[in-house]
Amino acid sequence: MEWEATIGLEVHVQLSTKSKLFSGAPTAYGAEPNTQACFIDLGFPGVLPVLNRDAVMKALKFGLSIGAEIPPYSVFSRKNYFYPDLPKGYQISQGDHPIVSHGVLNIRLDNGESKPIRITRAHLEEDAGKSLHEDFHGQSGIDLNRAGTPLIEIVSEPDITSSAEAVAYLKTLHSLVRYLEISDGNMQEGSFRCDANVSVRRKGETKLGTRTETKNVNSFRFVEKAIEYEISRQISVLESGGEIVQETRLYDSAKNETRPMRSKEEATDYRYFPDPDLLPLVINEKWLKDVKETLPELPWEKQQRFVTELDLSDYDANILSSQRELANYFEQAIKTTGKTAAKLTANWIIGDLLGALNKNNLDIARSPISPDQLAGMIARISDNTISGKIAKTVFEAMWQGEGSADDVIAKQGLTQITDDSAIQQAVDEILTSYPTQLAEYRAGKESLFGFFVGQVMKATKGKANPQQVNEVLKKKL
Amino acid sequence: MIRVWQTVIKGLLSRSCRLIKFPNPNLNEEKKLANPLITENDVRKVAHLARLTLNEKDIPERTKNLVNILDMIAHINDRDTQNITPMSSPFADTELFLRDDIVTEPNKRDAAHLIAPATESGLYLVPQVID
Repeated sequence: MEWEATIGLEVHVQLSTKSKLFSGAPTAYGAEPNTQACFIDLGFPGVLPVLNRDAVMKALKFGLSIGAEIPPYSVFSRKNYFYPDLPKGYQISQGDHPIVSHGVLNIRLDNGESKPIRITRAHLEEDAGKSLHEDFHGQSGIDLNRAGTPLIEIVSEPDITSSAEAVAYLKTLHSLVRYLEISDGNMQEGSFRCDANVSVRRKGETKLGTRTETKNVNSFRFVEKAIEYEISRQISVLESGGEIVQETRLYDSAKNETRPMRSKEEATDYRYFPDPDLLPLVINEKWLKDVKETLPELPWEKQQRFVTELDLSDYDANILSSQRELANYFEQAIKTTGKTAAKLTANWIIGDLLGALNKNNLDIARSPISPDQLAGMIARISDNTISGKIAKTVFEAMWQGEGSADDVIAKQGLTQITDDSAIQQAVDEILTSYPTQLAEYRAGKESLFGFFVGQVMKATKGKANPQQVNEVLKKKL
Repeated sequence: MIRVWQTVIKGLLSRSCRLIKFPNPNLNEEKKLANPLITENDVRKVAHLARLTLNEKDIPERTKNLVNILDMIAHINDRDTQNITPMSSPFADTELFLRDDIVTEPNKRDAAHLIAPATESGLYLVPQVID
């Protein structure tokens, strides 16, 4: 029996404002418990929410970047539920009239093709506090610092059909919010959280299966695993004649499984109604135009430009534009090396630099080699001062903090030998040292050519210009 | 609470209006507004959502009342609202005030803790809740 999965994702993105969505309390992460929860966040009687303009702008930026509809007005509603980390007894969210609706995000699949994922809506809402269930003599501890922090909840249509697509979608979205500078996207700190709605059905069936919602997935890898687990769990339930219960499940990364958390509420259980404390939010054309002007070059626009202007391959351009910091690094480097060395610079960044960063568990922002240092090294390769091979030594030394490429080259005497007579002399010496191989080569064993190149390079400690060595050898052999 | 009922009634009304054909008000016909679509189960559901405790014996009476209320409100369907923009708020002409993104609230944890029944390590303590 063949099955297909249908996946819709709800992503909560914390907006990087200084103050909360409806109060002037700070939003900084990691403060002492309850020191950043003011009387509005605590839901004291008589207080009134006042909307943060910057949070609205950030939501609009997101909407415009995905070509979404921004209706002329949107409405804040109360979503009612009872939980101690929600002191008001309701969350101010948006129901029928969200600020952003009907957008599209194109994701890139492994085979290089692009697939549009429709975004149903994105709405503004406030976050709840945090409950700590350990160590309080059978009681729970509540920290309300996070209560009232601005979020946008981004809801996709069920266009995603595999865990790999889900991860591609999340990575694209994550990159976008970082490009737009509307969120720091820090997943460990909960700035980018994902709930996955998953259902399966027999191939060819038109009706969607019953879905479950998996919460508490806070890394790309866990999203992938949680979805894979949920798909196979649902298939095995159905194949053994069971039924899927619509419910909320929790992903346990230690055990790599999802388990039931609570039966899924219906929307009516939340008793949404327009918040009488807040008027509808009116967005006029002028405001939209102003926000549009602040949009940076978006990741997919940058990718295209890297291909058309800098002649990079589609694959390289995609990697370099996938993170804003990485793109900035690359662009900073080619400011010095020039467009003609763009391809070479891209190769060094994607190959050696990212490899070294990865090995040392560093991100590009913490690279020990600055873009200017890397550009300095590329310039010495381009002007033939060093060969690509010697550049590896220079790269390693720069990584160890030994200064600029020029410093390293001077200190270690790595300048490439391009003097023809010096190379000729080195070649002569090698040919005299290996008469047997020379005779074999001349008798037709052409594969020995590489051997001679290697010996010359070894004798010159890798400093001879490999091209010249090749040419001289060809002549002499 | 009133708003909860309003929302719920709006929902029920739109459901019933799809199914009940209202006669043209210009014709001198007797209007039959009695709403057979509201069942006692609907009333139980609404009561649950509104967190109201209703005695089982009161439910038939409540159902009748709700049907009457909906019938009365259903007169609104007689009006032609084709070219009328729905009102989003009674203060729709007033603009929502927006604040700049500035931190204005100092830490008042000590004051808030004074009226909390129990605190520890800066946290409020509540009876254990685990989903």
